[in-house]
Amino acid sequence: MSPATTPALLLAAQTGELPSAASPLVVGVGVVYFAVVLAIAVWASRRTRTREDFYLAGKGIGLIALTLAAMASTFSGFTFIGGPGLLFATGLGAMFFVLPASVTNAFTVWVVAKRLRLLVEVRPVLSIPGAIGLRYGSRAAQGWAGAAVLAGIIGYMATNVLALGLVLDALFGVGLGWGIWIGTTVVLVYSATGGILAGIYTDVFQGTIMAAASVLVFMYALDAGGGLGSISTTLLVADPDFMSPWGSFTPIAALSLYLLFSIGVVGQPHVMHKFFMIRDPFRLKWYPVLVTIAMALVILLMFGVGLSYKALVVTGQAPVPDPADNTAPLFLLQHTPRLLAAVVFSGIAAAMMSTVDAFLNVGAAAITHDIPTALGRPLEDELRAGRIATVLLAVVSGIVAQTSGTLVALLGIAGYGLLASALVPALAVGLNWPGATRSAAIASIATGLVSSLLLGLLTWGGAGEPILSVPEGITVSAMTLILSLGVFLVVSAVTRGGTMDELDDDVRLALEL
Amino acid sequence: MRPSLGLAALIGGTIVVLVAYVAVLLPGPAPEWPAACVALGTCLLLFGFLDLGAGRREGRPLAVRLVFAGTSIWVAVGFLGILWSTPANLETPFIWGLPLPAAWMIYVLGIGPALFLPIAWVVLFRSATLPEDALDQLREARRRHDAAIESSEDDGDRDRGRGAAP
Repeated sequence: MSPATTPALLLAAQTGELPSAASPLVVGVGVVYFAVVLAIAVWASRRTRTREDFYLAGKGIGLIALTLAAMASTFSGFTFIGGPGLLFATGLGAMFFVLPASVTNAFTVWVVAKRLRLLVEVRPVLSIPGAIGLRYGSRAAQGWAGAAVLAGIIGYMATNVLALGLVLDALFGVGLGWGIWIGTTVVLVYSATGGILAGIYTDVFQGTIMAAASVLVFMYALDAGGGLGSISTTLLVADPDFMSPWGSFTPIAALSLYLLFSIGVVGQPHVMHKFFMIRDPFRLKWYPVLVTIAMALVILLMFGVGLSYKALVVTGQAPVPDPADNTAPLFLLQHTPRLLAAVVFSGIAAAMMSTVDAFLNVGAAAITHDIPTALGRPLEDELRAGRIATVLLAVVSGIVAQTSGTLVALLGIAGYGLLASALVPALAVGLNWPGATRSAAIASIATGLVSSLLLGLLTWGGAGEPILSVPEGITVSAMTLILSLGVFLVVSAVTRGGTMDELDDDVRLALEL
Repeated sequence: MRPSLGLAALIGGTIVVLVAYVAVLLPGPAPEWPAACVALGTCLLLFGFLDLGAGRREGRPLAVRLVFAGTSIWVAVGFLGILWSTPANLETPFIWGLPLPAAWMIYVLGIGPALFLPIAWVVLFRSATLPEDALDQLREARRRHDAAIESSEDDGDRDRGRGAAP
């Protein structure tokens, strides 16, 4: 749910920076935070000896680790910065980005999580493209999926690196350029040495901070506004549209966001990939309950700060945030104890880093495993290659973040939608529908990839007017998701080859249990 | 194409949303009805994905299907309540600090499904999702597969064996 962070933070980068939080206390908390992360990296690097350790944490993580890691990777910095800013700017309609969280976690386990976990019982699957390749008996499908993952994550990752640079600049006052490279280096150190194991356990640390800090900030937000009823009354008088369920979105645009973020979640490889890693599939029993609670706690910050700060602004008690993404930082600096603000600022950096490390891992798998496998040239030492690919990806995303200007916004916005459009049909339908075919998988992945990039470019204004504008403000990503789903269903109806009937008995059993 | 309720819902949902988007993209002022179509289509798609996902060799227990139908109807009611709501003012009833339309969105659509869908997964986990002997069944199937691969080594059929990670 982090793409909305992208334009928001990019805007911050263009029009000003996040308000500086630098103070001895904030710097001290930040330093402690990074020290903990590096300690986890050292611990994890000693336990990462094989490619299964590097990509799948040795298939040995527990339920709590899975829960917090999935939550941290899903939310990124959106709920801390982009979310409150978006809510401040567009009203309650912004909640359509996060409302699907009440459905998505149970949706995810029922539709893909169990299948993915059972597949690794019968085959050494390392990645989501690998699972797609196995399902359809197709190296081409695996290669296309690997290419889609790479295309989707580069911009997505670059925008998170850019956002991380902004936050580190606000924390330490080091400047955006140094912020980008300090953040990149820290993520790189633990991702390249400790692989996904380091990523998972830093996510556990980061996710705990995110959830605890969100609850505290929510309480301060309600207190600052005089309680939810008082905040609502103030806003209803000052700006009734803000308090309408759609906010400044059109109904169809808001509903399209719900569609995209409810169903699109099963196309996010950095989250789905984690289901391969749980030690015991029976532990999935409590996953949706726990992760839904964790997500609800984190969403409180977006909801509380967005509403409360708007009420403070309309009553003249707080300055207008410019850009809107300064909403949460301004609230934290003005209305919470400095220690809590310091923890949340570290939590913001943590959230972005957890997303970046997850992307680095799935990206490295695409480069060193999925695409070489598709080309019939598997690499010999995938662990070493994975570490090198992680370094390369981190450097590329840092360079893209620093040099590509507003193009990075397009890549980031398109990222979530591209991954959803390209992977949801082949993965979420294909793992469950025996009649899904190989040609349909390839066609839908290609459709999602190409249409997302093409429509993203045509509707991207850059510095001027876009070539194409979508009426009613509907997100292009919802359209490309439906388009690729339609292509998948139609092509499955008219082609043969790659159906479940052709699978080995054990693989088929994993998909039918 | 083998017929199933889930697949039918998936196809229906895709068509309904597709029609809505085409209607909006056509020249001229956008009509209002496509929003309701996206709402309906989303609910059909949720049901379709869930129903397909819960499919097992022995079919789906009725309880699972009822949970999914209930979830989709709940979400649909959430959408329709918002679509049909009138703008709030100070006379509008407040529920737990929010005016009725906003409360409907947050509490019915945002929180409601979280109160029963994850719980349903927990309650139905052993009976309708992952049977106790699932891992034993898989290990036995894998053992048979490995044995078959070994016996057919001479046929050069090893590329589908366990050694090649997908």
